Amino acid sequence: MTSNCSRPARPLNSQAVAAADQALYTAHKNDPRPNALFDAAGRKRHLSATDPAQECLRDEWVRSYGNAGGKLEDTTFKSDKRPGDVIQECHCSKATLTVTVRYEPLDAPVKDAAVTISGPATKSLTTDATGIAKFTDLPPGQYEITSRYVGTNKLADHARLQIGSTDWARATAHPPFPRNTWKCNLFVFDVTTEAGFPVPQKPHEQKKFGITFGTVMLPPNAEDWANSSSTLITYPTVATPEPGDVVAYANPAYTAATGHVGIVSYPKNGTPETKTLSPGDNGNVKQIMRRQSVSAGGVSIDEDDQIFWHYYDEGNTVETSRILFRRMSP
Amino acid sequence: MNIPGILISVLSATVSACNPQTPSPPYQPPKPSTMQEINQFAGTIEQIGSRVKRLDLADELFAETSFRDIYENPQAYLASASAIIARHGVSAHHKKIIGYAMQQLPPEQFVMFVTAMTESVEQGTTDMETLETTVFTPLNWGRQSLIGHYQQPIVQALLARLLAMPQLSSVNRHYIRDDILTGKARQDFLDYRDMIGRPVYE
Repeated sequence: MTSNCSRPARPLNSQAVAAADQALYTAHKNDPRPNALFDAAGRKRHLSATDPAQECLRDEWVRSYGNAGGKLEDTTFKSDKRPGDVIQECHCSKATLTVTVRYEPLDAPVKDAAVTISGPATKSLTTDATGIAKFTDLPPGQYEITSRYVGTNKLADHARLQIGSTDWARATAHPPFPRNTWKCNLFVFDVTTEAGFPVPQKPHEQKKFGITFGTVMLPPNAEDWANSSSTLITYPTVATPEPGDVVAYANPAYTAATGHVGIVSYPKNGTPETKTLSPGDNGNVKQIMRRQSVSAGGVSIDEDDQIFWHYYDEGNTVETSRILFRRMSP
Repeated sequence: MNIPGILISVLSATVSACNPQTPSPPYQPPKPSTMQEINQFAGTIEQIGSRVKRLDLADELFAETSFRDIYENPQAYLASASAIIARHGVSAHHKKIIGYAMQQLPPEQFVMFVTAMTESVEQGTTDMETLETTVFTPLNWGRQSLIGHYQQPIVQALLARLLAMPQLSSVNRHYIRDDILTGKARQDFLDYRDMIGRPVYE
């Protein structure tokens, strides 16, 4: 508070105090909660001259006090101002809060994350390409910060529609694949095709008793997707994945093993955090969003933050070197 | 030789021509393991299990060198594996890893191992899911001895024993009856291995 702010003259007028208190609570009864005057359950917080969260309400209270008949000190000529100087309005010191949203693992900014702050004020912003949402002009106090991904991608949406489906389950026969076989590549083929991203198939001669009796078209397998020099799949590879990319790894280390392929999905919500801002603060908060993928597992189509990603968590560079991301673009 | 028998022989010859094969080593009964060997094996399985926490994508086990070492030479570990399967207090996760690691056993020894696991289920020391995981691995795994040799009496006896178990899931009950015992699963297996370019081991 500057010395130019009006202050109630002493002794206080108790009737005007009660009226000003009432006016303040009434004026803010519909504000999003929790805030400086009400907790989340709607209970009134005690008014305090020293609570930084209420600092920006003090001028409002003083005006109400004056309107209710309370006498105010004339600070104009008690300050170091000279007669004729412009008297500044009384302002509390507002704060700013910069929220940075990053992916984990494979650190990168999250664009299109909706960041919401709740506290003395409630606001929402969407992160820019650098993963930043900057809130300004905030009343000091304690804020809860939450974030969720709000971007959209056609392929990710098609893949997510199948979550829980057992059509590509290991135990299900899905021609040309029999029961008890992995069908992650068939799932990726089906959803990419459905989403409008054509993927070529491979002809395979079917033989019985040494005689070719037909040709079946096979979708690319995980090894094809994970092969950066594949002539079959020409969608570009990228180092930093985004939702809607295809993610694949081959397992050349062992002939019996197949690889795995899936679709990069939307990240998990950030973990809610709290931050207390003092007057004039320029606060920073980091929100982490965990990467996820959608793929055909043993039982059903699952969205998961471990498959593919756990190798990065573990720092397993042998396995991560086998993982490839492809950007599906028309 | 009856007609199906001839067909299977021809088919086997065809598979031989299409896929590289590794001849089965002669059957050798497993040597009993010392307690030290068993404990060492249990420790290795525990380490693998701590790194591969989920088996819904079992092929991730192949990323583990120590797992591959066992998988490629399962006969050396069969006695220890059977001893641990019979133990109380070993987690289903670890027993499933052992089940996966034994998939390259020659047919006779694989039947012996599954029989030991079946007894362990009957005695309540191993759960049915672990047994089913071991018996019905994805077709890219191991020799698939119960599918490939379904006509052999010891395999038929084992499949009959599995069918008699009330805990067997209906999905796998149907798979044994409709696919394995009819030879359909064998044909699917051969076609699939050919389709994915992986060898078949007899």
